[in-house]
Amino acid sequence: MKAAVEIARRGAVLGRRVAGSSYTFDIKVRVGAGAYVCGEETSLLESIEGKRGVVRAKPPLPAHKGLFGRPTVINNVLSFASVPIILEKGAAFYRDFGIGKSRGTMPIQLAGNVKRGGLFETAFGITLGDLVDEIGGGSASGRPVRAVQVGGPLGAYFPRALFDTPFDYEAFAARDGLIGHGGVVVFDDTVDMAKQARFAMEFCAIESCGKCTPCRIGSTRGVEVIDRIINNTERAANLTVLEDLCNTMKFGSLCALGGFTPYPVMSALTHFPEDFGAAPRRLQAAE
Amino acid sequence: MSLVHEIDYGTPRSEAEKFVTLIIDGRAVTVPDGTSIMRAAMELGTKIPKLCATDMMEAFGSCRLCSRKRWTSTCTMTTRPRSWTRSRA
Repeated sequence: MKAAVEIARRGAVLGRRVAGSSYTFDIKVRVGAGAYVCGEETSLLESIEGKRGVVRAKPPLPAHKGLFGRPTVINNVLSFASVPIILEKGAAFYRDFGIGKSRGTMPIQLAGNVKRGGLFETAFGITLGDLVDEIGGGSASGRPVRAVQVGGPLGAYFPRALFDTPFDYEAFAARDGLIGHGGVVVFDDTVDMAKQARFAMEFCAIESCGKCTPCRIGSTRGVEVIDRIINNTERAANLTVLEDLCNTMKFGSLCALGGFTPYPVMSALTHFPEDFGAAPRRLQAAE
Repeated sequence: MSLVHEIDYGTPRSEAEKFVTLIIDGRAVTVPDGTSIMRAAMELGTKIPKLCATDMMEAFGSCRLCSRKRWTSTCTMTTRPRSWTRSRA
């Protein structure tokens, strides 16, 4: 990225008098130290200001009071990367890719137990099954694919029964999932979904900025509750506690870290109850 | 010796000169612009639950006890001319 900026600066595309015009425009790359929560826009601002990456309460939105208290526009690199093709070929060209309200293309990261992993950019609308089985070629181990986590470490787990879901923001949301940053992680039939649910809570506990109570305390309590479920200590009661805790985290957390941790936990519980020692129940999101 | 009970409004007084009128739970209250919903409610005698807020400090918005839903804690949300109602969340 820094090399690309340097090339642009030498080509007079960046800096003073951009491309011979009277405009000045420059790019400065700031590298974070790797905290997951610093992807959240307000903790990102704190981090750039040289402070600890702690989420700010909103409002005020960054567009009103952002970096160093000044109005700040925040865009995903994904959005910026889509700009050149739209400027070159027109809005209609980009818009004609995709389905429903999800227009254009999405860079999808296929990873985990998958035969052909890597980065693929494709139009919205491809089904999850086509992504995993056609593009990804199924599992690397050759065993049947049992679960796929879509959206990143805080995305929902989808079973094979939901492989007909088109890659579309609304379609995933309708089935209690999310597209997130387009990460797709494949698991074969040896996966233990209770362990995966525990991992989500553990991840949140490690990555939480610690500001808000639902995320800071909820994630640690979540690990403990799932441990009790795995060890069959008052399982039924603890399953109720887990659902209640997820509800609190989802609606009470300050940002999406605590707010989205319930997605992998609850989807694992909903679609793979047998891994939690509970009797299988009917899919709620499948209709 | 008795204790002096001071009212904790949750967030500091806004120094703005412009005043706005809010309707909270059907009752009107006029406060300086930039007043938090929590403080405006307390002016009416409505206590919104809080753990991390007190009127000696700027609002921090971490305990989430005063939230209706995500991103709308009443300690960090300041006045805008619209109606607020108590929720049972």
